[in-house]
Amino acid sequence: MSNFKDNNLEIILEEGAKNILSWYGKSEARDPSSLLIPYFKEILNKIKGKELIIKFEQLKYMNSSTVPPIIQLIKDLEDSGIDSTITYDKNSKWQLASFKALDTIVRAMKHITVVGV
Amino acid sequence: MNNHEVQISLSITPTWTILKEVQKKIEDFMNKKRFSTELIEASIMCASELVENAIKYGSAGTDQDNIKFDLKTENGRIVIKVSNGVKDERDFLNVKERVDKLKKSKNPAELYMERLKELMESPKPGESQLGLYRIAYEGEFKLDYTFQGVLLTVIAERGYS
Repeated sequence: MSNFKDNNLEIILEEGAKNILSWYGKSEARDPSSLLIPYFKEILNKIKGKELIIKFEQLKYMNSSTVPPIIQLIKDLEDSGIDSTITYDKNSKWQLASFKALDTIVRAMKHITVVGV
Repeated sequence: MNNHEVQISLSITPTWTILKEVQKKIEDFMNKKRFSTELIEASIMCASELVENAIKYGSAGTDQDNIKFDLKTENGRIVIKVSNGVKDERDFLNVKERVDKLKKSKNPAELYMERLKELMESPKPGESQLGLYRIAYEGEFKLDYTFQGVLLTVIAERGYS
C-alpha cells in the first residue's frame, strides 16, 4: 500500500529519486491518528535512504486532530535520518499560519525543512 | 438584517457526519453574501473546531442532547456560538482553562506554539488540545464562554472589513 484514502482525504506516495508524499482534499476524521499513524509507519520503511518531499499545497482543510499524527511523522523522519522538505501554500492564510508555527518548532531538527511555495 | 448580514441557527444531532453539513451551510451563506475567502475559511475552521469539541465532549447523557449552533454577522462583527450539555465537569474546566489563558494572553500564537512544542516533546495520538488555540491564533477570533447548569456555550467573535 502506497496511497491513503479516507473520505475526503487522499495521500499519494510517488516513489522515485526523491519520494513525494502529496496530500489532497480535507482531513476531518474524528481520530486521524488511528488512521494516519499506521499508514506512516508502513511507508517509512519504503522511503528510507531517499529524500522525501511532503506536499500540503492541495490540502483544503485539516482539523486540529490532524496535527498530532503529522508531528509524529516529523519526529519519525528526523529519528530515521530521512532528509525531508515540507511544502505548503504560502498564499493560503490557514496554511501559512499552521505551517509557519510548525516551521518554528522544527528549526532545531537536522533533517526537516518547512518551505512556503 | 441588511444585505451583508448572515444568520444561521441550527440544532444539531451530535454525530460526526453533521460537520460537513455545518461547513456547507456556512460556505453557501457566506459566499452568497460575498464575504472574503479568508473570513469564510476562518469561520468554517472555527465552527468545525467548536462543533467537533461539542460532539466529542458533550451532550449524550445530559438533558441537552442536541448541540445548538449559531452564526451571526452584524455591524462588521461575526459571532459564532456553540452550546452543548457537558457530561463531565472536567471537560468544562478544560475549556475554561484554555479560554481563560487566551483571554489573558496578548499573543495567542505563543499559546498555540507552546502546545505544538508539548506535542513534539511528547506526542500522544488522539486529542490535540489545539483547537481553541487555533481558533484564536489562526482564525483571529476572541473566545469566551458561559456555563449554566450543564450547558456550556463557547462564543467566538472577530471583526471583518
